[in-house]
Amino acid sequence: MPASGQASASKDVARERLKIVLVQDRAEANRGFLEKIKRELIEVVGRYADLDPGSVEVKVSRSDRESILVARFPLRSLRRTT
Amino acid sequence: MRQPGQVIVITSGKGGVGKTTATANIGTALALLGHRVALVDADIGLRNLDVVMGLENRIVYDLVDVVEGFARVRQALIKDKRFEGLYLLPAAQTRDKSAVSPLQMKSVCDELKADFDFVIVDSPAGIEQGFRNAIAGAERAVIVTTPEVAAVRDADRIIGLLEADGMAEPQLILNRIRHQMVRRGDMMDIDDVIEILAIDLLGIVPEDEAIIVSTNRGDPAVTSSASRAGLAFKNIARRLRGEVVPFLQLDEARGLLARLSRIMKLSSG
Repeated sequence: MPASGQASASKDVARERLKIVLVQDRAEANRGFLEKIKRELIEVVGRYADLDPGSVEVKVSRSDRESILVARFPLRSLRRTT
Repeated sequence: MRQPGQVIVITSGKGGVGKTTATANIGTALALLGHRVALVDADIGLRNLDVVMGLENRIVYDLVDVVEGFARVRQALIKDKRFEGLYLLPAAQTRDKSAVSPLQMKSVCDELKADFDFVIVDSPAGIEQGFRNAIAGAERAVIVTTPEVAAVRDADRIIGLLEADGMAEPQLILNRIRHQMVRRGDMMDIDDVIEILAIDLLGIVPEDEAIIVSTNRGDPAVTSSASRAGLAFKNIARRLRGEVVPFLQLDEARGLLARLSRIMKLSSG
């Protein structure tokens, strides 16, 4: 057990620093992954609908129980399928 | 027709945390348990598994020779004469990662698993092509880390990449735990690391000088009954084949004398 009165044990410092750095790392990795999904979705959905690629939004929405991948495609118009 | 074996990749992200030592010891332990085991060194250009296993003088062909069609898998496999059923497929030393593609690696692993119970792939450090190659043929991944910020951070990144690649439930080996430092609060403990990484624990391995001695000799530590790390790797091997084995009590890692004195204390108090 760490001696009392001592500055906080170095492992607590390590743990806190890690938690912070991992939040940043994971967010960054997520951005890369979401961008990839977004590009491919725009390509696929764009074949069937008239999209404004700039307004497409792909994000992960989190609750305590689950994470949901949410994509929004504001449409300019629906193409007639042939 | 025998049932195909499983391909397990040992990986970490960060270098120097004990991937190759883990591969050598787990593979040897599985062979000692009676399994047919092929160790594959996927670290092309920086091969190490051969020296850790003490098989460096027996290499004729390597992984790149197999992939390029100069040798068949069976010709390149080195039979470890000390342990029945244990084989090594060495990496090439003078080539680089681009000499092998993930698809080629997968086909080598598929061929091996038809003939072995366990195919254990030692991944290079990093997240580049060498890592991609190493995981290509694997259906199971074991991540090695030490209780240090840089190693745990890299482990987290690797877990993310494995999950994105569709690898089901990677498991963790926490290596080189120093119980004394944990006790005085200067090293993260098992719970800290598991909480941060949110991953299944496969095993914990205490820091052990016997690992350095055994690596000096090219003789895996699992062969020594005195090595705590060796015992930890034996336990990991048994868990990999489906046994339920309790985790080592690290405070018992103090050796026989301490254990004896504790027994004395118990009986006298």
